[in-house]
Amino acid sequence: MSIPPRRILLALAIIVAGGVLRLPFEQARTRDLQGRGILEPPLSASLRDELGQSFFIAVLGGFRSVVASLVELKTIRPWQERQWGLVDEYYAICNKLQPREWHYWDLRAWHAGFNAADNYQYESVRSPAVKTMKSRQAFVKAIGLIEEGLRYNPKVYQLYERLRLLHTSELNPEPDFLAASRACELGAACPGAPPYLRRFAAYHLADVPGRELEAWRRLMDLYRSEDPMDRSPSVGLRLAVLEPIVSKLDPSAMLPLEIAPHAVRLRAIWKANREKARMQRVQIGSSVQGGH
Amino acid sequence: METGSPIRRHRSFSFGRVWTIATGTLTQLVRMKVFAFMAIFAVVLIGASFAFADLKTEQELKMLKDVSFAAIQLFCMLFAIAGTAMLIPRDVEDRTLYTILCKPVSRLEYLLGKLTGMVLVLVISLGAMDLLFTGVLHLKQRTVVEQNVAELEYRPFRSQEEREKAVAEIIEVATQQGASWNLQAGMAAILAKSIVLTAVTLLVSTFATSTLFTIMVSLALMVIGHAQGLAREVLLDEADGAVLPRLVAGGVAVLFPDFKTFDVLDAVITGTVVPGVEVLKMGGLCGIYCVLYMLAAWVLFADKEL
Repeated sequence: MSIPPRRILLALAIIVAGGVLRLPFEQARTRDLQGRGILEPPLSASLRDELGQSFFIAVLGGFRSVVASLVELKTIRPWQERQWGLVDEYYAICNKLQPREWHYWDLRAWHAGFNAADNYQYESVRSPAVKTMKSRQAFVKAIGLIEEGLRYNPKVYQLYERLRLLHTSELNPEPDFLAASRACELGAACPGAPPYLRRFAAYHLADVPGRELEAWRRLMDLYRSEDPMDRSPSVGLRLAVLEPIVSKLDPSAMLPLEIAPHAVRLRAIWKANREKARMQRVQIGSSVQGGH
Repeated sequence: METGSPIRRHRSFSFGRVWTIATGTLTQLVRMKVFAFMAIFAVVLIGASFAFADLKTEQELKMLKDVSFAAIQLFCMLFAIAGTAMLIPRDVEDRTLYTILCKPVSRLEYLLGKLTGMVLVLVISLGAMDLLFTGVLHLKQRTVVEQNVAELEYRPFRSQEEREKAVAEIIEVATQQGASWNLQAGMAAILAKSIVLTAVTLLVSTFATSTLFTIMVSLALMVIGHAQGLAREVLLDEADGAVLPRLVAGGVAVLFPDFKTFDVLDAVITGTVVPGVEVLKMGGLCGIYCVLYMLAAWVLFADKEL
């Protein structure tokens, strides 16, 4: 069963000629698809050490997504054991494998921010100053992760929602309501975004000192909106709370007639809610002081 | 006066003969009980649909898609290699090859018939797996939504609006990760990749000395083909002036198929829409590869002493 050598050379020539012809087309197509997020970016060299031989071969064999899922499953044990460094390491691999899978960024930031910060608060071995510092670091890291995730997934409103929560969390020692408001605005512009993000953008702006008038105008726009969802009870509540501050800045600012009679009661509700939130913070603080 | 049937001129190439060999190959493979692996796939799929019940909605559905697509891809690719590798040796062993080639059937028709037969088997098995997978995913999607909405009953909500928001979010996530037409782009990608692999394996089997050799070489080609894009990057990187790496990379980029170009599965799983035109381009590329490798296979097989 032999093949004449000239036939072998001819077959080789066909494959090489075909290869040379398809090379520029394939390169352009790959670049185009990578740019549009349809093909994943090439693997980094460091990933081989992080994944191990068998997983790396599987990734090379076209099983990137399932490997990412398996690595994610590996995070469950360290999560239960509160080894946040290890959880982050595994999720970092998932992010490298599938940077366009938003939930890896979301969960990584959730662990790095909320879970780690919460855990630092209740750890009895650290001093209160160290606990606060660690919590701050955890939130800074988590916010950075979401921002990195948004570079790959700029149209995913869930990541903006997570960013909002990170900026406004009671566990965050340095909340940033302006950044939260901006995150809501950007999230609201994403496809499929729920309408409440628009309202939250105004609510959080109302919490930023010096931006009350702007917040008032936005809330009034929502109040005047045709959409009954925009005219939620929270909008009325915020307007009632802002009115004493805003009326000093703009004498023409007046509460809508439907809200004005209830303004005092609404402000009392707001005050009670704020007091409740403050007590929660004090409770967290006292657990920090006394250990857990 | 002329009597009897008219004399039909023999054509050097006939699609009819290719089709006859293709259906013969299909029957041959069906008799080998190749579809038995479907039972394993069903077990994997049903197992996966129950295995990750404790995860979040998007994780649970993504995990099911990951495992299912990985199983479908693995089955199809291994099947393309193993099934094709044994076609020619089996025909030699059964003496069927000699019976076919002693008739006015060209070797190109024989090879194309074998390729078409294998493609038919791939289409049938992929179609069946697709049906099963889509059905299970659809059911899972419904179950996950129902379960999560039912769990909301135990969660306190400050208002009806807040509850509706939570329900809408569950449905939104489940829809993003659930059964959709976009998943069919992933199936098309698996089919295209498997067909190219079949053509490559058929090419290898024309000069291979044994079935084992064909399988091993084709498996190696499959792995190299997935890294071909990296070789192309090295070759076309103008900043890197080293000659030897570029020479090696050039060899890899020119000789081996680029399987990565069909890897839209990650995008499909994450919910990124793959436009129909990209699916068509994938089909075109698959066709180019098939023409190229079948031409090379024919050149090798045409004068081969059997």
